[in-house]
Amino acid sequence: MIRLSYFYFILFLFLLTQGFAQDRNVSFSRACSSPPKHRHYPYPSSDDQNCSSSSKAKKVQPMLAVKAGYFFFSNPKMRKIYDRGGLDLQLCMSYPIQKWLQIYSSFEYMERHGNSLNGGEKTRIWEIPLSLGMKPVFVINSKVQYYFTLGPRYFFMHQHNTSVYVDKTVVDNNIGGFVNTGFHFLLHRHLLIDFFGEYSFVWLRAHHSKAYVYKKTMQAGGFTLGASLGHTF
Amino acid sequence: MPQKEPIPNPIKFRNIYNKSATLFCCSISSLLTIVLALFHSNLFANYAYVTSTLGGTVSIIDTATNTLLPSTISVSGKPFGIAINPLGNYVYTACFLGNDIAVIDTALNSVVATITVGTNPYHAIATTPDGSYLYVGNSGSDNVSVIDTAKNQVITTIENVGQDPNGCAITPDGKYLYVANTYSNNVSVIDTSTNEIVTTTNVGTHPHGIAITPDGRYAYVANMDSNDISIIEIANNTVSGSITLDVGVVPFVLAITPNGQYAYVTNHNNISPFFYVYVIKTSNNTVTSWITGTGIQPNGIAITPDGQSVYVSNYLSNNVSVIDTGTNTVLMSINVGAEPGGIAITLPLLPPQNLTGKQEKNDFGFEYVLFNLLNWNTPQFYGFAGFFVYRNGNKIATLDRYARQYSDHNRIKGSSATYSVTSFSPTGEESDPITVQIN
Repeated sequence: MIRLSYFYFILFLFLLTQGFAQDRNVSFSRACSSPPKHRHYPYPSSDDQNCSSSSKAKKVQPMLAVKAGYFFFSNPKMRKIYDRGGLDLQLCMSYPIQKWLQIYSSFEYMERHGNSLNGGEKTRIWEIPLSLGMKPVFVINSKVQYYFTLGPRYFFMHQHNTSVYVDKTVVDNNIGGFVNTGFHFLLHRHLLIDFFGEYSFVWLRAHHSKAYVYKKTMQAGGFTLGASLGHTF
Repeated sequence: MPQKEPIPNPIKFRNIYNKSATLFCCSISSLLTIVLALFHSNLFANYAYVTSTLGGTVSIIDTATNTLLPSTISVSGKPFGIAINPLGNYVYTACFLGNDIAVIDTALNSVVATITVGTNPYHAIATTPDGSYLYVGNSGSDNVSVIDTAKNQVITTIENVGQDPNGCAITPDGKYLYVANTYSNNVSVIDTSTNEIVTTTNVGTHPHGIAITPDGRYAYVANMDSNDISIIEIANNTVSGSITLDVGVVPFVLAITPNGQYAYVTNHNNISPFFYVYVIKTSNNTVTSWITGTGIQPNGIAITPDGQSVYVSNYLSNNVSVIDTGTNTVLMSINVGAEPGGIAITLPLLPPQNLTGKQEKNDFGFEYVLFNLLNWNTPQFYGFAGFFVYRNGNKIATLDRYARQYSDHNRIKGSSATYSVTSFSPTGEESDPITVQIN
């Protein structure tokens, strides 16, 4: 994780430098600067003629993206049980409410297979997180934007255990939170790709149990690293 | 082999425990342990099976009491050599004139099958350590018959082993068979995986009996007419030494104690005063003592699995001498059928070894159960069919003979339990328990 953060930081600095090198007028507070002629989404070129915050806000466009990532639990015990990470699929939508701020929502599905610790019995878990968050977007240059998102996340969790000694099904739901960050790379007027990293957290527990089955509250969130393909409207 | 119902044999049980009630003040779990120990106090007895060549019978001696069981088993065809499979449920006798092997079911104490082999099978008969195969040396046809004990059929015959194969032994790992060829003065080494002769080693004059040390390093060969014992180093199949006995002695058959420290050799000379058994210390290969007072012309020899007693069948005295290995003296003689030949002793039913237990957590993340995990090693010998597991005196599991661990699930947090594991025989007899407490 340290290496990954380091990589992101270096990439961020690099793109930031490139952005400034290509367009000295673009900055995080670009609403007060003169935009370049070639700039488009989320600040279309039509707005570039008149850079006022009100005109830009009208033209900021919503985005729909499909994200695919590699998820792994942040809890060490959960990582041991579900030792191999797995695919995390998200369908997310962003809608601008300010020229630099979007509202973000997503629907997610992830599933893991593993074995119980010490018992070696098969177990499977799937989660459906629903997210709502705020997403500030910072324009680095005409092709690259940096963003991060914060917000609450609702988790629904289902665990199936192939064991006669414990409850076969454990179901719980709770509200946690998430934060993600990444870079948008604008490929086309309506197309972008996104590389992101995400951290989520939620505490879940088993409720019903057989005799002499002991329950625990666990942090069921974790990290996701992935990419997405987005479409702007 | 046909399936059979276990037939309890009350004679096979003996109560050797007479625990006094000195532990009344112990905890409940300790008390349960004692109760369990008393419950299992019926030790599995060992039995010596002795062929009577003239009488055409097989006699059975309870080695715990050194008494002859009333039932004898009729076997036709002049039975000589004898072997018992590791599970102890079948005894095989080589019938010299019948040219066959009589298969005795020890639960029924009767012959349940005969297997035709080569000509004049004599003393050379041995089972593999897992009991899957039986090897029989045929002294008349100079070959070795290989029998699949599951089917009671000869699956192949190994030719050209030498003249008069009269003794045989299998290495503890079951990989090699050593056959003493009396009139070729050599020993054939056979790979049991291919049933082919891999080498032949020259020994003394007229080798007869052969025995292999429990560690599988040496084979001791009794040479009848050179008055000596040849020692073959199994790693390279060469004679690494010999032990010269007294002039006039006819070393016939031998047996090595389970700890490998001593070899006992019978003297087949039937002229007085040659009625004795030699004791050889294997660490320096010297004769440490000789035991007088056996019968005339000792013929077969076997040592109990605990190494405490040696049984010698005396061909011309019609009895079996019981030797105490602690004092190397003859304790008693037991009359058996006429002209006793070979003798073999069942393997013991030992409890499992090195029982350990610990509490583990079978953890699924959001829920877990506690389970007590037991681990043990297999008993030293194969004479068992499976294991019983007890928790606080109550039987909770019956496991097959390949089991080496057991998990007792859904334990209560903070509770302790006493576990016992026993071995049981194919006929339902049970070994002493081995016990562990898990807190």
